[in-house]
Amino acid sequence: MSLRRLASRIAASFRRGRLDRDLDAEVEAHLDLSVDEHIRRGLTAEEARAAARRDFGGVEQMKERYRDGRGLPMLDWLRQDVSYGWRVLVKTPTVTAVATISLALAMGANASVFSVINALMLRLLPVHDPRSLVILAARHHNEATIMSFPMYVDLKQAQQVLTDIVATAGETPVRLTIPATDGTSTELDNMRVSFLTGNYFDVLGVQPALGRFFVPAEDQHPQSAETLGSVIVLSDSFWSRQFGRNPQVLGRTILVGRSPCKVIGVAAAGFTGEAVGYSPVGWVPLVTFTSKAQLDERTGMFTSFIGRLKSGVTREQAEASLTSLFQQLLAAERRVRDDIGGYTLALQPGATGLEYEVRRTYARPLIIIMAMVATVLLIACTNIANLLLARAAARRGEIGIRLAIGCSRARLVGQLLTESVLLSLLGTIAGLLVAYWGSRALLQLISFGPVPITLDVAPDGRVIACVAAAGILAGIAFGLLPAWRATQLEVTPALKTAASMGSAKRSRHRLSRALVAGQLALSLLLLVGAGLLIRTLQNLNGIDWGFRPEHVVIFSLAHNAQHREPEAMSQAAWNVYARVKQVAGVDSVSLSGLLIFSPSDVGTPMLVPGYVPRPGERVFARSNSVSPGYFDTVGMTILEGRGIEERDTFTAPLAIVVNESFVRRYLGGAAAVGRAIKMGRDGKTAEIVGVVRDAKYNSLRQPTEPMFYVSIMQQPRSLRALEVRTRQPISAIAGLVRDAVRSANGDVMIRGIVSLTDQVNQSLAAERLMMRLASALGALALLLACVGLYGVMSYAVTQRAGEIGIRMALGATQPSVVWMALRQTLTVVALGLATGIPLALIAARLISGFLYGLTSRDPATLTIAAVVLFGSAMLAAYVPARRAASVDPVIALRHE
Amino acid sequence: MILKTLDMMGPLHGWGIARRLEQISGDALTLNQGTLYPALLRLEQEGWISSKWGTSDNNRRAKYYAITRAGRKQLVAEQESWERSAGIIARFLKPETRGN
Repeated sequence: MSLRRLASRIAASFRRGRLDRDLDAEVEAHLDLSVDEHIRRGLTAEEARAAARRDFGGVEQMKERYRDGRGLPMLDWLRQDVSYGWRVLVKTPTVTAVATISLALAMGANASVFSVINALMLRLLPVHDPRSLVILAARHHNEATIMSFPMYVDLKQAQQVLTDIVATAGETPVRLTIPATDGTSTELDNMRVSFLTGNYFDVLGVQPALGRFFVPAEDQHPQSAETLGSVIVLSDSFWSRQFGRNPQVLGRTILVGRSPCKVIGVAAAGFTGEAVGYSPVGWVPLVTFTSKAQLDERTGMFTSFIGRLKSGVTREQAEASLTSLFQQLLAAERRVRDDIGGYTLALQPGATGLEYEVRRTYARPLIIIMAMVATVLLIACTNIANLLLARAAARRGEIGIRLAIGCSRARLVGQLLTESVLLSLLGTIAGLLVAYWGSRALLQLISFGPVPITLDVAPDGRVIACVAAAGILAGIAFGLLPAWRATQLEVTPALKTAASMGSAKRSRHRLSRALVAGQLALSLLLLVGAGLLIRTLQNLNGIDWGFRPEHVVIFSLAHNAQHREPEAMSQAAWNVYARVKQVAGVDSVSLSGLLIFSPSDVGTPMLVPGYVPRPGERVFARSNSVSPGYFDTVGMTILEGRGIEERDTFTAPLAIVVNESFVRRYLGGAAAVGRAIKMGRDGKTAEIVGVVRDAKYNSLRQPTEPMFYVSIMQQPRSLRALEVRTRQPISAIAGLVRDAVRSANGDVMIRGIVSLTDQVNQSLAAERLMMRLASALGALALLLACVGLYGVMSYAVTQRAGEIGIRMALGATQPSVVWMALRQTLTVVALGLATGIPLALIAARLISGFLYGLTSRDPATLTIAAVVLFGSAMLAAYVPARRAASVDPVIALRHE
Repeated sequence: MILKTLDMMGPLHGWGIARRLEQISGDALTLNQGTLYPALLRLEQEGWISSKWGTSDNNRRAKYYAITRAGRKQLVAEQESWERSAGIIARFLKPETRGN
């Protein structure tokens, strides 16, 4: 068929009414003209009319052929089927409502989870040609390491496979001060600003919505007293929020920390940086915020690099080339002497942005949750299939008539499928509406802690397309079996209404039971998953944490020190410590350079006299700088010697407290107090003054590693956390502590306040989320399966009322009748368990990485899940069985 | 045939085309007149003829079909192709008139 005819046919499909009238008129005109002619030839009006019709041939046949040729018959069928299907759905509102609601919930859950997965992991960055972006990561034996600024400059200049490289030092919370025209000013704490090299926007290919981006001159002068001041590009959302999209914002000066920055531009709407989920309020050139000394220092500085592949260069080629270059540079730098071959520069695809914490934490859990909700969808589909099966039985008469008058079976199956797809699309549309709310709710569940995730999770084109496709597929899936079964009947018996309880009924019955067994098996999957996760969390809560989190409140801090000299930092720490100590209601207080149970980790190389490392072993310990009072506040036990005390001042001899693992690993378990070790790269000697009991550090799962603590007055670091032990509720002391911190040091901001228990629980957020969802979904699935079982069993009992009546008349006791009915259920449940247990064993492997203290084949969990399933199923079946036993034989037999 | 008719006679309604075809074929072709309409539909879909409503000589409303430019081109092409194949068949049927 030529394209032109196709177009004409499609166009005709949409104007059927008018075209039909045209055709009628045309035929009418033809016949009239023909009649006139015949009359002219001398026939009577009557004869002429007959002759005209004879000449014309079959009018209706012609019209039928004409219509087939004019439109698209398939489309016409579809139109008929849809309108008929719609009428059927409207006519059976209960079935429609039940199916739509259950589908809407199941589809909504799927769409919600998929929306979040899409937004977090699949969506491309809104930049120019995102697929040619690569993320560069320095690795040492596949463990992430960080790179120095000079190394970045060398690499950028020497490499030839990328068009350019961007370095970012990540986002840092700062205090923004926005001066108003009338001399007052607004202060905003915890504003996340991204520090990066000035070529950032050029390499990503983002356009400014307003103003311009950095020029090279703005990215060249390290920070010093003379050059204090820089430029900032604002994000679109911050521009909206804070400046009401006023274009006058350009040229205004705002303070980033203490550095006055001129606003030069606003990034395009929708661009939220390279790390999806975190959206900074602005971007500044990092060189202007860093002193020359810091830039020249060849120590780690950057967390991430982004490059763009030159056209024609593959990622593998670039990786090989950059790795060898990296090794050459390391050799030239002479900081790394041995094992240079172990260093690599890995290139990952950068189209969807940076691999970072949220994505790392939730990528796998989200996929597991997706599998769970997909299981629920499957169960919901099975339920609807059962429902349709029952309805198909009720429509035997109608279907029989259609078959009898020559409707083809394929056409009938098509008709029934159209109905089920229609039903499914109804549910899908409702489900998408649910997803608008659900995806946000899910985001709330995963977004907590000091940095909320900002992510646009509203279903986009991709989500809607996928969900619609899933909806149509689901419609076919749950409609095909009932449709097939419904049209598989003998015409004659089907038309006899009363005698319709033939063999077809029996096989439909078997089919329903198989479907219910399938539902039970799928429910078991979710129950086992929930059980394994519940027991994992119990196990993790049951182990010895090594500290007492009750009554401890953690204030996470952001510290952008103006004076970074060690002495000034030491004094700053002391000031905050001393000031907060005086707050009423605070039992004990401490500061630390690393937040307990956060992803941050610091390792320090050491030299332990008397310890001979194995070949290739690096003598290393975790370390934390803490203030006096840390062990008391957090609730850790000093086993030997003393903790960090106030006498450990900046000028006092260096004192450290080590943990038990340290003593075991490096000191051979011998007495530790009084021994000296050399630590850090500069090899300062420190004396061990105490031993503290092993405690979990940033994960409940990991075994404790060697660790030492040093006074934050002696080894000053930026303050990251303030720990407070108090009997007061958080709300009572939060304001007081905030004021105290502020008055002690204006460079320190409080980012978040959380109880230590919650801080620990955050590290189990993924497990907790999965456990909650698995439990809720498992319960839902079980409920659905039980409802299905109840329905099938009630129906079976009603069908057999006559038989039961006879049995009872012949002397069967009530319990034996109940047992007879339950025996049927037993086979269904047994079938469900028989398929469900192997399935669960396989599926549980998905979550084996999240389990603690048990394996994915844990027999106890499996048994409990099976027992719960069995009990619920029997309960669901008991009600109809009781009903069967209460049949009055007289009534039942009379009915027969 | 329809195209040729329209080309020669100008715009015609369905009945007119049917009459004309019967006359030209000398009533040798006695098809049901109804079969004309699906054929007209096809030609119109191809864009070879166009139609519009008009009034006939005896004041009846009827749909008039007219050949389009594309239709003329098609007609020429069809004629040529027909003449070619008719010529070939003719040569097969009367081989003695050719040759020597």
